[in-house]
Amino acid sequence: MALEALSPDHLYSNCDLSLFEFETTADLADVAGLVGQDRALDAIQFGISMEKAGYNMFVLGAPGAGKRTAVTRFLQASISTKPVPDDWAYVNNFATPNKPTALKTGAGRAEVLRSGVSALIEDLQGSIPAILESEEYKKRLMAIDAHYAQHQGQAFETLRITAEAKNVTVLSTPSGFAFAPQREGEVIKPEEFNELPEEERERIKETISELERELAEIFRHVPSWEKERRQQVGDLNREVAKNAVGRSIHDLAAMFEGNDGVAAWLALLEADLVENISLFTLDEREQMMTPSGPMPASALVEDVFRRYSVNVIIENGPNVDPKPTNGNATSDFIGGGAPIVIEEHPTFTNLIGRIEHLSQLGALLTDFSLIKGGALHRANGGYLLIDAMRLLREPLAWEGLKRALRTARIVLETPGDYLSLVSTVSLEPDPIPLDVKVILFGDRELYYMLAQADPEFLDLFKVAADFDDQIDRDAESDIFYAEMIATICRRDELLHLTPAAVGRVIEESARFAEDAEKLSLLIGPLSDLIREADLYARGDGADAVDAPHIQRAIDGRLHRSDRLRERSLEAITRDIVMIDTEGAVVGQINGLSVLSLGQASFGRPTRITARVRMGGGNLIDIEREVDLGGPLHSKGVLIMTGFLSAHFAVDTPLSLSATLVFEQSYGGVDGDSASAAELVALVSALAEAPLHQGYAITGSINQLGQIQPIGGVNEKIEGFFDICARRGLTGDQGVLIPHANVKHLMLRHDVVDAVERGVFSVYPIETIEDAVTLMTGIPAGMRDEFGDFPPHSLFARVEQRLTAFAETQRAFNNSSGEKAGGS
Amino acid sequence: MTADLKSTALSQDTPHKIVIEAEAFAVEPQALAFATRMAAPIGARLVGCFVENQALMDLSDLPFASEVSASGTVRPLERERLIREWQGQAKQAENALATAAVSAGLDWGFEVRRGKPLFSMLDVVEREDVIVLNAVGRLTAASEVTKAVRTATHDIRADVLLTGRALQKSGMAWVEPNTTLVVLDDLTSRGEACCHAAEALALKAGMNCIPLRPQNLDLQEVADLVRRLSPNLVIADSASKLFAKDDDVTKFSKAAGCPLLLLGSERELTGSQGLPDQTS
Repeated sequence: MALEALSPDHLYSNCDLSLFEFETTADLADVAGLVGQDRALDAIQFGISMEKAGYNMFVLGAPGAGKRTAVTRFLQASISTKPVPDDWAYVNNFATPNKPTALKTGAGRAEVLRSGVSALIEDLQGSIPAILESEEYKKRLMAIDAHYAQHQGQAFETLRITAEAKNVTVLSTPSGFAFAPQREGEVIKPEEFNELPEEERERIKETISELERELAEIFRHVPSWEKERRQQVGDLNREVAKNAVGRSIHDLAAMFEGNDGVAAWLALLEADLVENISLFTLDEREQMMTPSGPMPASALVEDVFRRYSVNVIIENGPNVDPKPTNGNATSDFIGGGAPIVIEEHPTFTNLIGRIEHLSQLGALLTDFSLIKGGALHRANGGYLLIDAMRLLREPLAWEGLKRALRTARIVLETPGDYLSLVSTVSLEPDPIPLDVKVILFGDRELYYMLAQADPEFLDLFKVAADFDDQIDRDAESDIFYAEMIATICRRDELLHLTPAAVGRVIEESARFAEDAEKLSLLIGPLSDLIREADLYARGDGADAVDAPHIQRAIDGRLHRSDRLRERSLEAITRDIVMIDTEGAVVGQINGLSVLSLGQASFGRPTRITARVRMGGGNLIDIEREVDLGGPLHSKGVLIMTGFLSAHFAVDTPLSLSATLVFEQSYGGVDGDSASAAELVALVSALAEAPLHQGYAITGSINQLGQIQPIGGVNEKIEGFFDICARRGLTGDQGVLIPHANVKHLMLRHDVVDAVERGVFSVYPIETIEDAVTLMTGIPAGMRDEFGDFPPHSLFARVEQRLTAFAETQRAFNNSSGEKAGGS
Repeated sequence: MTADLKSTALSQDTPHKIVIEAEAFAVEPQALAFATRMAAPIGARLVGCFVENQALMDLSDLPFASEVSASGTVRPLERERLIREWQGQAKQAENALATAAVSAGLDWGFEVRRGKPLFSMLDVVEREDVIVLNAVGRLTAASEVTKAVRTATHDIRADVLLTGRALQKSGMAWVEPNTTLVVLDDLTSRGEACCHAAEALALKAGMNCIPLRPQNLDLQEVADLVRRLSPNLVIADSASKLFAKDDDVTKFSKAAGCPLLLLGSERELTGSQGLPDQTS
């Protein structure tokens, strides 16, 4: 039975506008949820509810599927029931300053601690100097100094009196003291001394030596007396400071009753304040120097008391105004519950936090007050949303995030420290416990690549929320689409659409989905189309967007990206690229392919030729021979070989040498959608039956000769149609497509119109027999009960040709063998 | 500032001098500042005096002479080294004095004498001069200090400022606005003149002048009272009954814990002592 072409009804599926009972989409409410994403939404719900470690989420799907919107909406609904997370702050570790202490303070309490400590220090800056200037303190200090001065003076005075009693006086020298013999209050002159008896002289010398030893002993005690004096002054200062500081600390500690961490640190703060009370005196600060001289007064106070500041890293609570740490990140605190943080620039430091440095006189200095939190800090206790591709592009970010999730801690270190490139002393802040659910967004390829290449990935991201790209096209989905369009128009403040416009959008969505029975769920491109139509409608002064505006938007988009297609068409119509659309040629056929570059995607014909001769059973794919053929293409050729060898002259060795080539193709070929065309060309070459050049064919073939569906069927048909139309339709032109692709047809109106007028045809084929019969006009033939093809059938001619090759081959081999044996 | 105003000779026609013992401002830099502030408004000449102890020189000639350093090390006392060190100390003191004097636009001089400390310095002091001495923390017997003070105030009739390591307010000048000046009034005419002089100084310096009229209080009690007031300076008449005993002056100076300006006896104490104005 002759194969019948498709009727126009099969080529395009119109939207049933009778479903829409509205004037414009303004009459419709916003879409309630996401239709067709039940699986993904169930996964999101599960992932949010599962609070165990490792149940982070990867939301996968094509861009524009509304993944982030859906997730955010889910989170908004759930976070208000979650507790507000604790605040965290870094404070000075007085014992080990390079290991700052992390303090948990309770939600909204970090600022209370910070301001409380700041007020305490400010208060002490007034009260401690006043105490140190008080009469009581000065009296006690003077008493200590007087005691030691007296003690020291007493020792000297005792020695002096002892010396006087022995007629020796003490004299002050430029660098110490000396003992001189005296008589009647006057030092003995040398000549007088020499006149003294020897015994007397010796006695004086001995006395003076003894006094010198005593004086030296006194001097050796002076440092220990001074040390005692300093200790007593220190004790006095500590006592005074404890009284002053203790009261204020106690009041502050009472505000954090029950918080052991804060209480412990406040105790250390008190001890440090007591030990360093001298910082509160102007004299002590005035002595502070930098390498280039005295520290400027303005910097003194701030710098000196920085050790007591509180660096709030994470701040939560109902009154917190979210502040992004960089220009790209945003965070939302909705309903006062757990935070939702969207990190748009997920670098290592933006995620983990960083330790800043100050440059002072050529040196880089840092301390706990220069620690800055990252997205993980802000999202702690809540949710962190990240684009997976952006994350993977940033050096160390992925590893840093995994480590944080794996250890459930945020360890602050610089990238240099992380890579062990830096050996200078730096900060090692206390890690902060991490309780966050990370939600990554990405396409499917990325998800499967990570699952395959990273052994940790599936352990840490156990939940995959797979967003579908399409839904079934039916009445319910048409209405959902209309509601979705209404939502977009309202959200983006666009003109609403008429039912006809909605219908056109739905049809274009099916075209975008490459399936007449499906609608695309990629909201991004849909929104773009409506926005562009809005521009045209407003330009026309219309109140609503109508179908022609949608069509203009579609045409405009095509036109803007059409340069490549035009050049391709021009190359063919000018015979630069040789494509026949009339006549018949043996072993030459029009295959079809789709070229996608940027926003341009169009079909175009390619000449495929086949040549055969007797040979050793080789089917040479020239594209593969020169490494222009990809693996899928090669697979198709091998399948074709399998069909041939199984279908024809099965009892005869395949004595065929054939070559197949995509003529004028220099850029590489992959995919098996042209394998049917190649087989038809080969059959034509074997049977020496010309192929109708007014037809083009697309389809993949299996070893049984069945035609399998392919992609891009609409573009391929339109690509060949455009060539035929440019040259003038003859009425005897068309495209052969796999029958399974009929449901995917959403052809342009001009193509449908041409079919309606009977000047172009689209044929659905199911087997290679359908294809060769249509393209040669000769029935393919089926084997009878004797296993023979009908005489003069196409396949009979093929088999005869192959048998002839085999016999010729055998004869040639015999002849060669006789010649060799005879010589 | 004018160029070097140093003069090595003192003439009888020289106006008031402030003679400051080199050891005094080596121990207490405020002493030089005070002397400068006193000299400026009255155009007095600032004279420093470094005394090389003759007794030490004599001792150095003895074969066994040695000195004990502050670290407890004993080493021979060598004459040449002694002279070199004296010269170095004297030069340092002279430079410090010159700097202070030139900054204040004062005429200045520096004397190096050899003889008995304190007493050799009195050779350059005249009536109504002011002598600045270090009374605290020196090895000189208190009686020697008292004797020198008495010679200066009673014989020469000069004023004496006794300094030492002050126990309070290090870093603050003695003559400072809004600080306290205490004057001891023994209810005699000289005591009254002393009060007038003190009030004049306080007025010029913006200080608070508190007269104390201690009746039936002994020296220690008065010193305690003064200490409680925590003044920057105490002014008293050198012939006051309070200092009946020889070493009372030095005892009081130590006990009061602040510098003591003793006004020389038999001077006509006018309302304007010519003491430094705080604003000059």
